[in-house]
Order: sequence, then structure tokens, then C-alpha cells
Amino acid sequence: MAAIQELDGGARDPAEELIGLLRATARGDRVAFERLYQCTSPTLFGVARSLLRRQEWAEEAVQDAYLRIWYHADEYHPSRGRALTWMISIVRYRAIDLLRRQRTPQAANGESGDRDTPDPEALAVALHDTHRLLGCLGDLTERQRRSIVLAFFEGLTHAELAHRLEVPLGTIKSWVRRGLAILKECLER
Amino acid sequence: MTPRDPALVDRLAAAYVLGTLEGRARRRFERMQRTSLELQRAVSAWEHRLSPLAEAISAVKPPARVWRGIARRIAPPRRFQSLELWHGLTFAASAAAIALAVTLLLMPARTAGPGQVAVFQGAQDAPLWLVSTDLDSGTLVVRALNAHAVALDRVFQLWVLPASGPPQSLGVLPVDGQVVRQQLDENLSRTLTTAAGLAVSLEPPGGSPTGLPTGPVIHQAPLVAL
Repeated sequence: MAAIQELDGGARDPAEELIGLLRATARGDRVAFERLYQCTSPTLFGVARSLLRRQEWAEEAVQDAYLRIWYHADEYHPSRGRALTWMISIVRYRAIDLLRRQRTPQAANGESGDRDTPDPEALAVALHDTHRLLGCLGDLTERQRRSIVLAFFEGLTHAELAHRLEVPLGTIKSWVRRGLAILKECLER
Repeated sequence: MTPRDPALVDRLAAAYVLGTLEGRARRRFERMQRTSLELQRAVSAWEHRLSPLAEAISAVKPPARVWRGIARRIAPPRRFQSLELWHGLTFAASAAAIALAVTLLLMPARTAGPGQVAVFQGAQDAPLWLVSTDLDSGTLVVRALNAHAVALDRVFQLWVLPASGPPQSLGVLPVDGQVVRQQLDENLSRTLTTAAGLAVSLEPPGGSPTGLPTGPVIHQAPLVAL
């Protein structure tokens, strides 16, 4: 996020600037596209790394995401939400696809190792004031929160979550589903 | 078919954004989403809800090679860039061009299977050529729509711009309403699936003698997967 705030020394609203860069990109403006990349790629690369762990996969996901952004910039519309959110979603979906394609069953069932997924409790505490979502995560039970955070940050499937948390598949499905419902309810309050 | 039940739509969208919607269900959801405003809205809403999580991940500057790879794939190779006519050409497909291509492709009974399409636009937005590939059967079909011969001693040659490396010839282009169909070898088919786009250059009769574009590059178009 820091990179975004450096835009034009903060003279303009960074979100507005991103929208402008995306519009210029949609017109085929390569200079705008490169600027868009400079402003946002650290955020997107961070997201890809968190999901994929392997440097080369994360690089591939980021490249694919920006090619998609280059060719589909005209599909972004402010009514779809913030430009950065739209871009993050693109890299996340690409990373999830790569993860599911590349991950061997063995690796999928493996230990979490030295992965630096934020600890859900620490995350909720550290960032509690920064956004309502993180506050709303506090409304979940510890298990619901853990399932959702693991799915989000590590791209785990239901089956992988069940294995990791050592509970039956049906239980995981209900934790995730219920957790998401509570989050939504909380955010709409 | 988009599910009718709004609660189900919301649940599917949430699982899609979180990533727990898997395999065929995930692919099916993506396909449905393309044509359903309701699904798009539900997905956007969940992306908005969950994005603070992604933004909480620390930003990491990617190595410089990542941008170089992107730049290479969206830019014509250096040899092309030096050509004056390249400038001012846009590489972004207009939605109208794609819509037109799809309409044109659907006119004859189209065989099923994954394919790609590219439209070369003329100055007045009149489409010049429509290029389509059928990756299952490995065929490339080029239709001359509004393209006419420019001179007796010049032909149009079609090139694929690979994700990396020099352009590869796809043959001499037809003119005056003609259609050319050709079988692609495995290498070219593979190159096409990851290609950045297509380009057209002006060459001596019979095509470029060197295997690389020798004349000016006058058109380029992205290759869109169907």
C-alpha cells in the first residue's frame, strides 16, 4: 500500500489516479500501464507470494495478471469497486488457478512449513482498527476465522482445510460457510 | 444458467472469491459470471468485503525481470518498433471489433472447440481481415473482409508475435474477399496459444525472403481466446 500512497507525492487521490491509469491503459497507453505497474505491482506480488510461496510461480501469476489487466482494462468500472481491489482479485484468481494446477497431492497435504501467513489472532488484533472487516473477523469463532484466513491466504481447498485442521470435510464446509455469512452480516450492519 | 436463488448466488460468489469453490464448479461459475450481471455484482461485493485481507499482506517489490517479461509480451519486438508505421497503432482490441469477430465467426456453422480470433482494423474501423484459429484441429482461417491489394509488387504477410522471441510467419494474406485455410504444425499451434498478438507487414511477392518481416509493419491486433 505504501507504494500507492507515494503517487504524485500524495497530491492526488491515489484511488482516483489508479482509475485514470486504468482508463489510459484501456486506450493502449503503454506509459500509463507501466506507471500502473510501478504503483501496484508490490501489492499484487505480495498477494501472489502469500498464496503461491514459490518465487517463480508468484512471478508468473503477476505477469499473467498484468497481461490480463492490459487487455481487459476496459472491463474495469468504478461501480465494480476500487481499482486496486479489482486488480488484486485478478492476481488472486490467477494464483489460485496456478496453485490448484501445480500443487501435487503430496505438497497439498504437506506441512505449512515456514509459510508466513499472518496468524489470524495476531492479524485481527494488529489491524483491528484499520478496517471493519478485520473487526468483523472478531465476530467469528476461532475455528471459523482460522478456516477462512487459511483459505484466503494459502488458497486451501475444503479438503486441504479438513486435513490441516484435522476435522471432517462437512465440518469445514459449515465453518467456512457460516463464517462468511457472519462476516457479511457484520459488514452490513 | 444463473442460479435463481439470491442466497445461493451470494454463497457461490463468496466461495469463489475466497477460493473454496473448486474444480469444475469454479470453471462453471466463471463461465456463468461472464454473462450474468447478478453474479458479477455478487462477486464484486465479496471482493470488496475481503480485499482488506489481501491489502494486509505486506507489499513486496517484484524483481525487474517480471516487468521485462510483461513489456516483451505487450510490445512488438524491437525490430518492429523501429519501423515508423508501427507508431500510433493501438494494440488494444476494441469491444466492437471482438463483437464483430464473434458475429462473423458464428455466421457459418462453427465447429466447437477452443479457438482464438483476431481482427485487423482499417482506418475507418472497417475490418480488413478476420483471423481465427481452431486449436483442436490445428487450423488457421483468414478471411479478407475489406482488404485489397495495394500494389503489384507487394503482398501482405501475417505474423504471430510470440510471448518471447522473433515473429513467425503465418503466410501471405488473402485479399478481395478470399478465404485461406491452413493446417498449423504443432510448434505454431503452441506459439499461438501464448502469443501476444498478430501483425501484418508489407513484403515482396511470395513473402519475406528472410523469414522475418522485412517491410513495414502496418497492422497489429491482439489474439483473443474464445
